[in-house]
Amino acid sequence: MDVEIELYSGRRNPVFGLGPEAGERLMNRIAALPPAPPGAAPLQGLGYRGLRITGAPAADVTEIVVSGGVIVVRDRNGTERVLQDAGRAVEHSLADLAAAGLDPAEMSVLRRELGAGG
Amino acid sequence: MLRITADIFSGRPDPVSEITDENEVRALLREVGGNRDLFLGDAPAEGGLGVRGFWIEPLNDEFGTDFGPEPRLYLPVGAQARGAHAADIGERLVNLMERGSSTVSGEAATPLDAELRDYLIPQLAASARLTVTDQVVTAPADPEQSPEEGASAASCTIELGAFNPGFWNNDATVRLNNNCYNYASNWRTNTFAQPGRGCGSMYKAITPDEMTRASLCDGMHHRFDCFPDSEKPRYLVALVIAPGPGIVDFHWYRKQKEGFWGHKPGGTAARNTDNSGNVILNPETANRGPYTVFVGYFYGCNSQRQRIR
Repeated sequence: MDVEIELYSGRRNPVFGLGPEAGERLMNRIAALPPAPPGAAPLQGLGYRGLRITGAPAADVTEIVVSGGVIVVRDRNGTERVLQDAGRAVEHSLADLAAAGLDPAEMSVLRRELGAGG
Repeated sequence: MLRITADIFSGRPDPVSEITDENEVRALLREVGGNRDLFLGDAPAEGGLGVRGFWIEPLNDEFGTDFGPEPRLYLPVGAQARGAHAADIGERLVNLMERGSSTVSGEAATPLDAELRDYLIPQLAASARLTVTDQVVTAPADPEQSPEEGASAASCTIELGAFNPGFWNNDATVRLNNNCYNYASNWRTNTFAQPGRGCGSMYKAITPDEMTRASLCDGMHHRFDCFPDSEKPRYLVALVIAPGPGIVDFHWYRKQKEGFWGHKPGGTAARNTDNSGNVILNPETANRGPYTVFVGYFYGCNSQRQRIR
């Protein structure tokens, strides 16, 4: 699984890989999450917007967006489930996994944004 | 599978291409379904010269639900277009045709190559654009003089395109692989275009001077350094920079026909709102998040947009 950190506009975003075990743990964790309240949506615009996961082991899942307390799971049919990431816990744990491969300046943006948002 | 025929020529076979990628066909048919009022069951009688439109027809019955009851549909473009968005769907069809197969059931067909694409696309957009004068008026030296009497310091004729985020957002491949520079240039490369890469001299640092140098190298001009009519469309764009610490990056905006500015933050959706959710009427004062340095205004042009990579 690849995790893209949504930071940039002009430049390509940094990407890191998740191994099969970490990927499976993440998918199990996401599967247990409740639906998000109506109107909840991922972060938008310029600057840090969250993390985008592709290559999930679930065959029909094409993309997972983890952003600002919300997780959006999209499938091949174009449908999406919007789940609640209370306290941005999944986002925090993905940020911890990103730390090893990320530029320290980029990591500081992640820490700052996650700290500010909960 | 889907067949697309460009209705262009009078005396030679029209370009025909068959699209076999099921995801591309489905994405296109979704766009057709959402814009059905732009399509006709037959070509209009008064087509005129040049590119007149496109035929699209599914070659098997698996797409029947998406396509509807018609065996094929016609998208008029240019003067016959039934809406501004027709030009953008036309551009999408041209790009699909270039990637598709031109080997069509034993019939002689003209392949749609890069040269023909570059000839067609400026014609498609003609109806979706406005040509205007971009000018600054200096304050009158005599305070008694009205602002209208102030001297025009500089002016150029430019084009403003209709805001059409669907072109960038509806297809995931297009959305993910085209960035703010693609959007500002109104040219989809699917390469996350970088200033200067097309001219062989990409920026070496994200600073105002270096980003300006790379953009001019691709063929942009500073604002009020006018392009001739042969370089239509000449879009007004704005460059900003996130200087760090943390995020060091560039970002572009493009002025739209409707009066606001459009932009596309990286691989996310194109939009006309800033980080506060407000429609962008002035990129200098819009909420740009970490992109705090306003570098300046530039003009793009047709040769520049075709050069970007």
